[in-house]
Amino acid sequence: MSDTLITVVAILLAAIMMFVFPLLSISERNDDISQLSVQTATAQFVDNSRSVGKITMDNYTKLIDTIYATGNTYDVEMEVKILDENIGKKSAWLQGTVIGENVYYSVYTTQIVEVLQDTGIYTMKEGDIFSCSIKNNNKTLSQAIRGIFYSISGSDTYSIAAQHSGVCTANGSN
Amino acid sequence: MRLQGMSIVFALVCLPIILVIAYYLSLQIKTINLQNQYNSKLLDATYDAMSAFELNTANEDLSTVSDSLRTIIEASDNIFMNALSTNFGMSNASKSHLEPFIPAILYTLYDGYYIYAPTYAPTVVTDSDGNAVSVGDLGVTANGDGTYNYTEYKKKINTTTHLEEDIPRSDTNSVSYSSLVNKSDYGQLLYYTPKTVKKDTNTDTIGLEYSNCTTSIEAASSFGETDPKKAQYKTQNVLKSYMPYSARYVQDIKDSEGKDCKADLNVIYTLDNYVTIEGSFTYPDVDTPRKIYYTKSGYLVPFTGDSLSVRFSVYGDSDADYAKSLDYSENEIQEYIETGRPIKVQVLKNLKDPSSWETIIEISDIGENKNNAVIDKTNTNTDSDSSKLTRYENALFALEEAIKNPTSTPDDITNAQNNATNLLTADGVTISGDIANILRLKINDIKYRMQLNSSAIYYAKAAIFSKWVKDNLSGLEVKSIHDISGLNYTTYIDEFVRQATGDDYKPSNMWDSDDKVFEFTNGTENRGSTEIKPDSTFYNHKMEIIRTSIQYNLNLSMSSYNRHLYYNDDQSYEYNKNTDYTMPIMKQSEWDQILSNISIVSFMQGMDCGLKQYNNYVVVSSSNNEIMTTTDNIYYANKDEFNDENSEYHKYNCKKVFNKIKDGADIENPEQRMSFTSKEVKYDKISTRSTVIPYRYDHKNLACYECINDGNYKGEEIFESGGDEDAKYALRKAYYIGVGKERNDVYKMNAVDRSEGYEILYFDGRESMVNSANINTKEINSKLGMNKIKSIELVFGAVTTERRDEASLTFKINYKGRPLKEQTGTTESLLYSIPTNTTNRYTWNVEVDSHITDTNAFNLGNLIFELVNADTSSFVPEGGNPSEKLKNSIVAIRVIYK
Repeated sequence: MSDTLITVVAILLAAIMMFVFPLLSISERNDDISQLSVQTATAQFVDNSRSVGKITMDNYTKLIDTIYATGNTYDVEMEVKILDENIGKKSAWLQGTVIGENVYYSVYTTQIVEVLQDTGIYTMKEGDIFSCSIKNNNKTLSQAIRGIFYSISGSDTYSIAAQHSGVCTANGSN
Repeated sequence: MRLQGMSIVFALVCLPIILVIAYYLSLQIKTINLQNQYNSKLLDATYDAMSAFELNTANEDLSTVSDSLRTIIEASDNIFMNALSTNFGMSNASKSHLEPFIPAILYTLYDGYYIYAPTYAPTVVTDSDGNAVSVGDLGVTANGDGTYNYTEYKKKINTTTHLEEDIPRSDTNSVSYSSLVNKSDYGQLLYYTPKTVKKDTNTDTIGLEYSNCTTSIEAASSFGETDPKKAQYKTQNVLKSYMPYSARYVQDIKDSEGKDCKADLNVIYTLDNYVTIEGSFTYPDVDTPRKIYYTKSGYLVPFTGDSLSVRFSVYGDSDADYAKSLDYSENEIQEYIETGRPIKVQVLKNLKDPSSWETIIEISDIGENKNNAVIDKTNTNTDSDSSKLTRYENALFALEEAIKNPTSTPDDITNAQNNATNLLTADGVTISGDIANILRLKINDIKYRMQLNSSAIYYAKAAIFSKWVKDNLSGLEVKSIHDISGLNYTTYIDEFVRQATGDDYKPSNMWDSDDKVFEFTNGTENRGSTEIKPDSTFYNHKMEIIRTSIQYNLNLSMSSYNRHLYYNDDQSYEYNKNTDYTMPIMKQSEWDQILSNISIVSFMQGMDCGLKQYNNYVVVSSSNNEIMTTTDNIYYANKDEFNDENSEYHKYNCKKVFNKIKDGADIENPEQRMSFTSKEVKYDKISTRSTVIPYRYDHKNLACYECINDGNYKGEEIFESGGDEDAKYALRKAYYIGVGKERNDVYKMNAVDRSEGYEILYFDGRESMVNSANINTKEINSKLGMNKIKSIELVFGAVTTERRDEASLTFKINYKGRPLKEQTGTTESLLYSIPTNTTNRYTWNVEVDSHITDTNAFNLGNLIFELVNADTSSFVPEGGNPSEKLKNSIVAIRVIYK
């Protein structure tokens, strides 16, 4: 009797060790790989755009293609902080380069994508700040398996996330 | 085996594999992260370098002069290295650790580029102040075997006066010229040798002592067997010499008169439409080949076989008037416009339709529409608009300073106001309202007229230059290319010949094209007909040349860095094998960026980066510099609103402005718009005069939120027909005027002062040019017609008179019965004098009226020198011919072509 019980437990344990853990481990590695490629793609996209001064539909599609190739679905959030030239204005004969005087206003993903679809190019100017963050919005395999063992509260969880930003270094031209 | 056993084995097998994979993956992730960090650091450092470049050019008035530009670039390099080392968390002092990882920094400038690259150079001995030491200097002694010793003598302190004094030369046993075995060593720099050891100085020796400093044992003239081992080499980062964007073409062409000649030209391109052409046309005449040398430079406007895209008239409105106006030379037309005379400039609406002219500038000097401006560059004419502008600006500045200064009394302000009022009333302005505002409007008015003036000069000169290119070089083909700066293409010609002789080997060569170099018609036009289209043949060809030249030289400097010798501690030399620098392949989009703006490209290679070595580059472009202006970075404000903090400035095609004009908003003269460049908004010139107003800032307008702050607006298609034509025309006019003004006001370092050509007709004693000693008996003709001649240079030898007291002679010069050039307002010839009875040679530069229509060649026989006071002069005996006698004194003749 007790022998049978031990055997059953051993089989169960073996099944967990043989299938679930490797699967969990492999799926986590899989997420790592996705993370890697998403991070690279994001950094490349942002650095490319900010050094040229424009976000192009080409680059954007390339980014989307690369990250979707990992088999997950993602939320891509872009933000351009536009430097308001007028605030730092020296019409009051003040020193213009006072730290903290520069004011930005932001433009977000939907507005940027709208322009991209319309003209193919979103132009930025020198001093604008461009940032892009990407998160997966599906449940990856590792998240699902982990969910079996311990649940993570909230639906806004993600396991693949990449973020990159920087100051735009050139006036873009269309 | 039991299941338990199997599972243990499985675990034992799988776990290590999983662990290794996990480790490898984490390494990969680190590598990528590191790489991204490096990318960002490199980009930021390059951005800082560009900011430094922009700031320095903005605050340096002579930033376009090449020497000054060089220092600015060296400063920018320094900033790059500092920023990079700071980004990497190193102190400034250890930035030299990073230098080996930077195989090159490329600066693409307006008409050429600099490469900043490490170079392996022998180390020069320097004293403690950093001055180079050479043979013959104080403290240098000869060893007799071709090597030298050097002890630095510092100034010594006089024990009684306690002042520094020089050590007398007799105190030292310095090497003197007479004591040298190899005299050619004298004055040569001293280098460290591999054996140089820094000796510890003992107390009675002043300074440091080195041994075995050497130049070469051989004399400098026989420096055939150089031995690098005789000097200590060190890697130094240096800015290599400036390379222009140039190409050489050799081709048989037809000149402007349809004559066959062989053109051998060097064309220097720039990032915009400015072009310099230097070279010669050789005419294969039967007796002796003749040569015309040209040095032309100017802005090129597109043209087709039918027409130029720009024309101007200083006479009337007929086609003939426009054609006649092109007879002016570039210098003459500039002078003409600057004196405030009337001119009308038209451009083509569509390059392919040679009759679609529209007027963009109309300057009138009389009546209600009077809008001319007198520019006085010599600052002698107080009535000129340029000096008026200075007066008004000073008055406004003084007024604003008085208001702003917290220490100024009400009297100070009243004084400044009174001064301004006096100034304005003196110029007949009625004062009502705010005096500062009246001054501002007055300044705007003068500035606008000067802008029209400047713009007219740009278009007129561009039209004259482009006509010359059209007439002479329309037939120039891409395949006639011989050299591109830095690399030679003559081998291609050899292959071409080989191919013609039946060899079936066909070289694949990008230059093997029948396309014409100066071909502008194809491509889409969206910046007006006067701008060269970015997909036209000319533009592509220019880009290919620039790109080829940069690629070649960049590759050369990077790969030659690999071959540097380095010095081992055991005093042996090896080639450096640790690094392998190569030039990465850059993308087309990056080339487009590099070649359309002034850019910095920095390369970083060889740095350890996780699992691999880092190898990347970064491009940063500038649009805010003093050196060039792109059409996108010119901003416009309405004339009356310019410099008013309650109104905005815009881009040329802003919809907001368009709609305002279209809706007939209350704007006076909507087409009168002032232009300025983005750099003027970004960088202020620092005022040297005032501490109250530290910056000279005169762009108080606000940036438009639609087109300037956020560049994502769909501009009005002002160059396309349809819609509100009047509003579009107003914007077009402002656009053309702005572009012309900004281009004309940029100082050009490669501009030739006089854009012209010349031909030597006669040079005494040169048998190839003359067949007889007597200048009168032979035919001296110019190659081109009189209408192409700008002036004639005559060099005279001795001119003798009977009476020794007649010190000079004055002549009028007539050609075919009429003066070559009349005195202003008369029909008399200009006067030319020459000193007599001297052995010196004198040159007359005889100006030729630009409107002579004679297409026949200049002939010396037709030239008559008319002696002014022939009755009293003792130049020729009674009945003699003064003209013939003077001709006999001519020793050289050169005609200057337009």
